[in-house]
Amino acid sequence: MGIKVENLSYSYSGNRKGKPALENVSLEIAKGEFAVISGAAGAGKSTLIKHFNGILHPENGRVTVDGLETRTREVRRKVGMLFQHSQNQLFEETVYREVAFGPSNFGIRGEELDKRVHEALSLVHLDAGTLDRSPFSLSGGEKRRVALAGILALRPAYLVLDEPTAGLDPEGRAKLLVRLQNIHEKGVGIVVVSHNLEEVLPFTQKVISMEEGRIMFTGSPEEYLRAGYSPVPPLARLMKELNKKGASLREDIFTAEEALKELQKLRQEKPERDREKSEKGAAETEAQDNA
Amino acid sequence: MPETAFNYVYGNSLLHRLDPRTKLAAVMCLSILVFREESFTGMGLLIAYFLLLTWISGVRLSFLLGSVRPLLFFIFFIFCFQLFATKGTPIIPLPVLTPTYEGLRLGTLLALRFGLLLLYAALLTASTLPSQITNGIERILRPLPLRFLGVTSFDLATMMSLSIRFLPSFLENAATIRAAQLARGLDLRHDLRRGTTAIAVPLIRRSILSAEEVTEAMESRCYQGQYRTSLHELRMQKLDWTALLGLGAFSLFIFLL
Repeated sequence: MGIKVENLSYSYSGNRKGKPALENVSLEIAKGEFAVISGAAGAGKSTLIKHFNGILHPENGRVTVDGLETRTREVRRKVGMLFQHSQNQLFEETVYREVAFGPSNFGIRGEELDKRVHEALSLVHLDAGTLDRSPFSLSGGEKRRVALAGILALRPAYLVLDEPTAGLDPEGRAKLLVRLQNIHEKGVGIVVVSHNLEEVLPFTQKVISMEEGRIMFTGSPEEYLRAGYSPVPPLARLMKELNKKGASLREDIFTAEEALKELQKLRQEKPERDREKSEKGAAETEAQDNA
Repeated sequence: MPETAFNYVYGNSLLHRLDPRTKLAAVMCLSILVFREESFTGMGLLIAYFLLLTWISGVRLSFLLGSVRPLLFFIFFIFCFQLFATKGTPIIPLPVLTPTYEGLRLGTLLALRFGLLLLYAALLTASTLPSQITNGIERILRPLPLRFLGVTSFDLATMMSLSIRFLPSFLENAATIRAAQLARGLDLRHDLRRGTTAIAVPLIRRSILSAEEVTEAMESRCYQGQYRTSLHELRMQKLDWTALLGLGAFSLFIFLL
């Protein structure tokens, strides 16, 4: 079960001679998992996620969601997808109709529809007062939240978001990630595409790192940091720098709490290490003398 | 980008070297001829003329034919409509839809007409750079008293070249918005009307917004839209007058036929 990608290759039509956008990609995202797909621009992240709900179909290989082929319509409902600049997809006259668009496309009407719209709106912390307003009268951040609510109203089993924090202010970014965590706690699997790894790492269980259409790494955030891939988030870099200066701290750290714990260790260790260092220094001079 | 319809094909043929105004005038003239031609002989001559020009231009015929492909369905539909809807002597007596000889004639003429129009236009764009076409149109419009309408031919030229420049990003936006609405469960096959709104409204909105951004970017770089001189002033050459003369003779011939 989950989203399963096997040996997927894809190249955009008209570019068959050039490098494929995806080359032999295999991965699995379990039910209820919070995963991040990272990589530089042009690494194939967006192309990959478009296969999750059948916007694109594999040229080679296979993609299934809970065992279903992505050509089935059910997959569109199961995998909710929010693209970049999602504020641009709004078109209805009121926020209510905007949020209701998705579920009504799947034949949901009446009370059930109403319930879903309200539920989705509260998940993104918009109050019911906005329901009758035109989505175009909202601020940029609010528009994004309406777009997200429009996806949540489908009650997807997986929520896939392409650069959801791009263009938001720092407070907006933090809030959005906490909201995603709340949604994740309800059992929804979440896949975030991001090249800003540091802000997503504290929330994820799995990091998938891509480069030029291939998967370079799959594993937990800790494993990712230990494997020494770049970019390295600031806290992990701090630990690295301290280690260069002679500390022996864990380098697989990405939350302030963990970092604090490690730094406190430094204080206890200090006298012991100084002694070690002088011994080591003496040994070195001795070795030089011998030479 | 893949090779698409109505693209420029690099070359240095006689056709490429003609003044864009000559070619614009020629396309207009030939379009009129194509539209008022009723006989197959005349149509045949117009086709032969097109083939001759294609040969001169050195552009692959298959490339030009590619420009017709997107509208092939439309042309076929027109042909069928004429074939079955025209009254006359039936070819085969069928109960509901009867194809007639008159319909076959009319349908073939109409299909050829549309095909030729597209092909001549494709020949123009294949042998003339978009900026050259814009220049040509600007120069043709210059003597018109447009300033009483609040625009100059230079404004129009800028508008034209901007629209051409932003066509690819328009198409890209359309694809992005389409994907986003598909992800929300839009089923274009079952609800075309709703699908059209769901794609058109955000697309038009986005286009207007980005037009505004471009305007601001242009204004902040001091664009004023006044009389502008050009590095390469268009000049009609002997070649142009010869070509126009040749075209004139051909038109007269077709006209009198």
